[in-house]
Amino acid sequence: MKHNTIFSRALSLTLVLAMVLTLAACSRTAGPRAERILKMDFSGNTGFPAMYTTASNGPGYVMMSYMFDTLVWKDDKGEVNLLADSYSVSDDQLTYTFKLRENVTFHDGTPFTAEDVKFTFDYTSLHPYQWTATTMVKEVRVVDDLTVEIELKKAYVPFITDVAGNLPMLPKHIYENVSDPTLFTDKEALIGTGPLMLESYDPDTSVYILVKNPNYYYGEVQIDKLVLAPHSDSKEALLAGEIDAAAGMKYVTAASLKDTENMTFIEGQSIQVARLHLNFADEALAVKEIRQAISYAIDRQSIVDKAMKGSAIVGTAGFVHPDSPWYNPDVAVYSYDVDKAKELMASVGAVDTNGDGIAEYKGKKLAYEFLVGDKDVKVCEMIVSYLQAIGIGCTAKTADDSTVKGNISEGKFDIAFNRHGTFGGDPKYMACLATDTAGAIKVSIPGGKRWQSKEFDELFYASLQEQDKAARKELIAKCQEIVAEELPTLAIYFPVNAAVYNNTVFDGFYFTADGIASGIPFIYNKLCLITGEWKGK
Amino acid sequence: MSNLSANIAKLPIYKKICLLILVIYFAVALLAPVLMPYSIQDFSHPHLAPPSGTHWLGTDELGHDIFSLLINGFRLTIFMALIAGFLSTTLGTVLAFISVYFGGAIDDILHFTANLFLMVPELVVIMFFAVFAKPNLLNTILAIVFFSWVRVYKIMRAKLMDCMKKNRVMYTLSLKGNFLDVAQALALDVLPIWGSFFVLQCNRAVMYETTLAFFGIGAPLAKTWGKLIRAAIDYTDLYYDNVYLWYLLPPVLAVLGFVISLALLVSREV
Repeated sequence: MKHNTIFSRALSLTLVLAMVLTLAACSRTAGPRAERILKMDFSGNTGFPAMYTTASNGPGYVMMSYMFDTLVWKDDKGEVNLLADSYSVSDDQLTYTFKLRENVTFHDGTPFTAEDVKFTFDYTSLHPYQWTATTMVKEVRVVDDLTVEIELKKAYVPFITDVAGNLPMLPKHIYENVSDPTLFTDKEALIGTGPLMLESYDPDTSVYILVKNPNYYYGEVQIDKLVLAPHSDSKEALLAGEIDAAAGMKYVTAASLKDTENMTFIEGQSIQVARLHLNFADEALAVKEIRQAISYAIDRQSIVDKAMKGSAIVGTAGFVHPDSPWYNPDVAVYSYDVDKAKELMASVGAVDTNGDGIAEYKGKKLAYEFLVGDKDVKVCEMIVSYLQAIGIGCTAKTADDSTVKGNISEGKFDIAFNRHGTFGGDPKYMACLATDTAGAIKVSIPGGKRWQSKEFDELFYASLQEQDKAARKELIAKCQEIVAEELPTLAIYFPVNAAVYNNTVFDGFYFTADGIASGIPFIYNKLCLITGEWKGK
Repeated sequence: MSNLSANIAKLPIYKKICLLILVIYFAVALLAPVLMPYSIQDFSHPHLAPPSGTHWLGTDELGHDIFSLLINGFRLTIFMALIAGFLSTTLGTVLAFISVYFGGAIDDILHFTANLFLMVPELVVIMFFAVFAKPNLLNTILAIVFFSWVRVYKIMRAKLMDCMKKNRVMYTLSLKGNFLDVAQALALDVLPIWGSFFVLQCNRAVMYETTLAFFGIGAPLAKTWGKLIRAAIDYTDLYYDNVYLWYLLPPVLAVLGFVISLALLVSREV
């Protein structure tokens, strides 16, 4: 830890020195205005930031989004048109017509046209894009230079948020010659229409330096240079002025800077879920009453208060966030009630017959391995103790987060606890509970034998094609009722995010409505750099 | 009994102190259920309370009483150390005896295996094993035993080789004494070293367990001292408001006290 800090200090010092030198050099040549350098902490190495080579996680996507734009985007209030000037949907919900913005150019000066949009969709059908699927697209037609029509195979209501709001537009003149984009890491691979361009990327130190795109169509970029680098202690780095914004702090750490001078603390919408996965290959866990008993036995409020120190919202049974407009408040509620839990267990014959403290179901002991990330041991300890109280024995097994995620998606677990994002906005994420999981992110889908319900499937698939919003809400509400009754998964809590930035350097960061793209809980929305205000010297 | 107390009286003063410390440790371990003010499974207390009359060392992030966890650690850690120490010393001694008694190919194979084990740092192998085994305390003990008998084996083998030449042993051999007879004849010579090794191996076991716990390997919910240290270090604001004084320091001192006392007790005169 200590070494790390010293190392990162040395690193930042070198960086600052380098910057001071460039600054000095620039001020001599570039006139009176000093170079505006914004430094922000970042989660680490997310790879070469092109569309196909960047890490397939939130930070990887955000890094890529500085250089590449999508047709539509989101700011703090909601949807905004980015490369699209406007769009319309046909009455049958099958054809989307996009009018593109005029005078948009790629970083190399080539104009952006409808041909590039068509090319991007065609290209992603050949080379599937890890972040969002475009398989529902039947055909893309170029009407004129700035008009493009996208026809779908069947109605897909979340098309705008899920596809148009996530798919970065590639330059046809560069990518048409690339046969394997996952290996394409030339400087040209980063030519997009975005507000920033990559100056340097050092994979060893994970330092990314981006410079302003002077011809950005959406507005003047307020900074000249953006430096993104990992810091072992973001709080310390922020206070020392090594960085100007920190998105990677724990909520409690961020909150401790609330009253610090020059620091702005912002709290974001909670769009993550921490949940229990139950393996349905186990005879007992596949019994609805036992899952309900587990749900009654867990004191979610205590977990939020103690293990999360209040930085989360208590989980709901219907698998939709309580702040979401799609939330159904009338679903079953499982408030902490050990007696009720024991009753439910007894009602299906899961009782402790031999007095060892562990119940048996059909002659088999309810003893399980509880898989959990090594950062969540506290939550695990509490849940293990709650389950013990109703006669379900758990042996905790910890591993690092990626191992836990891997084991869950391969179905190698009895009971597992994990968290993931993309839990805001359109409830298409409920696809992870359906038989056909298209539309849900990979980390939310457990492997092995899963819960399946024809009734849920029918309602959910219908909701993806329902055009009337009120009717769709009704369908989603019914889906929640089924989930709350059946409990295929147990939401324990929804973590709340927070970030802090130095308002004497740059002001105007915000948390994006429903998260960046498909729900990244980050303050590093590229549009902040245009609408925000430079406050430094 | 008088023999024992006479032996103790002959010990230099620092060894007497070590002995006293160890006696206290064992007493605490034995009396743990009585000494612990709260159950270690009880996390219903207010969390992160500073030391007070009700919680002598305050409470941790979940609301466990830290004093109870520390006392429970005496029990777990000493229990684990004794078992691991006993088993690894015995395993090393028995293998050394087999080596010496049978000699030839058996000795060669055992000795070669031991050398192989010596080449790899023990801790690395133990970690490797512990990561893949089911995470419980028994497997941690087995991992420590299985990979730390080598040092005992090497020294015991050398010592036994010497002893085999002694008249008493030669006599037993000439009478066609079997395996057990020879073992009996050697026992007297070997027992004192066996005792020292036992203590040293206990010592080692505590250090290994603490290190493993620190890396997050082993039974995640067993509240050993190592896990306590790890939990304290994971707490982000450890160094604000002197929290480390009652959260981190007590388990560290407990480990140090135990390890140093054991080591000094069996050390040769300086």
